[in-house]
Amino acid sequence: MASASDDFGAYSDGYLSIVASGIWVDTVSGQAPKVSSHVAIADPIGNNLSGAHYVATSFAGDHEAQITKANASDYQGPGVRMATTGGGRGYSYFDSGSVQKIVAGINTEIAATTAFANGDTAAIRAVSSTLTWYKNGSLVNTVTDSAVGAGGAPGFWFHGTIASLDDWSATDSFGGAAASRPIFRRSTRFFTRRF
Amino acid sequence: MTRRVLVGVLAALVLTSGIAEAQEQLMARFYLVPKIGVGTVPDPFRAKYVRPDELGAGWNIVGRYVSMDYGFENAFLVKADVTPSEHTTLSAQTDVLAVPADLDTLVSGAALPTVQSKLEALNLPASWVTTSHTYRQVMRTVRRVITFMQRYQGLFPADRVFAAGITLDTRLNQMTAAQRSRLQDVAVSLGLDTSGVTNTLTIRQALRVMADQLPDIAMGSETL
Repeated sequence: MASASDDFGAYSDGYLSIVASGIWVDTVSGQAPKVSSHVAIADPIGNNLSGAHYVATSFAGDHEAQITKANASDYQGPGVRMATTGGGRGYSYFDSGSVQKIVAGINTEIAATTAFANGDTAAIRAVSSTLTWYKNGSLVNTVTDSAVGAGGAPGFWFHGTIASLDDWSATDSFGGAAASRPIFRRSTRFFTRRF
Repeated sequence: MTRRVLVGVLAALVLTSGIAEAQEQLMARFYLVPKIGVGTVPDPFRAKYVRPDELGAGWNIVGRYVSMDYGFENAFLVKADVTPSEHTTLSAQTDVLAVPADLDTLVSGAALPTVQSKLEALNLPASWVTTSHTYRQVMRTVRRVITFMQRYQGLFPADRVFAAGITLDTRLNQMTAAQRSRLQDVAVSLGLDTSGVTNTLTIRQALRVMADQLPDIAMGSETL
């Protein structure tokens, strides 16, 4: 059973995979999310898909990720089953409401539902071949996809140059709906790093 | 008298309202539609006709559909909760294959050639379909083949099964060892038994042998 969270408050400004080396890994080669003023932001150089997945903790293949949206522009979303394989793979619930799978850095929309706005939380959960997503803790919908089997790690996805997000959390223990799961404020590791 | 007229008018209004409501009642329907998009976040590969206004001003089924792409192929299986008028609009598109609402209906003799030709044109095996099969049986196999091919694309995103020269009628022994190996890897990844797959089978036969082993899944209120 694993859980983790990050509000990006422990890092100085810079590329996330560098300032949080050993904790976050760039999912898409050549597209590196950054930290700016304790918020995760998209790679400002590209205008493409980027993302990062959490490697400081090992998660079971079935897991869930949640973010709080911090910018009204571009695209951001929680990610599951993320890996660098083939140029980036996984699933996301983007703030536009689009639920997409990413295979070799290519995006395919498998459902379109409720968009989420600044300050909203969005979560996506992968269990076997079933994806379930939540907005502010409420179930939105469920879909099936088998492209990205069990494995990978939770994280987040961006598209654009000014996408950003704040609190991120993940778990592979589903005690209930995402609605009942609080944002984990900070892991022991972050306390260690901060103090 | 005036009171009777008033009651009559009210009854008519209630009846009319009820009919209108019934006409707009949502019904779960399945469709096979083409793929559009370029594969980016803003313009992802997706099922055609699912975005707002794609079939005229006011067209909007966002929040009422889910879909499964057929890997590299130009097709999406869409399950949508639509009104009768939305169904009429969507099914009128020449590139849409609409499945009857009652999945337990037998495929009629008149519909059989169309069902077979449209599915086969999408590289979905359908020569096995007869008038003794229901649409649920047809769509269950379609969904399972799609699941198999999704995993194939996930594992081998640079290698389309139906590459140049390869069709549903290609025998496995006419494929390269690498191509056969990829199919085997997908089967293993999905936990399937490949002992029934021999090199003399065609792709259409091999896909069915493997797809038939996959479990049913729920797609909204329906199970395929």
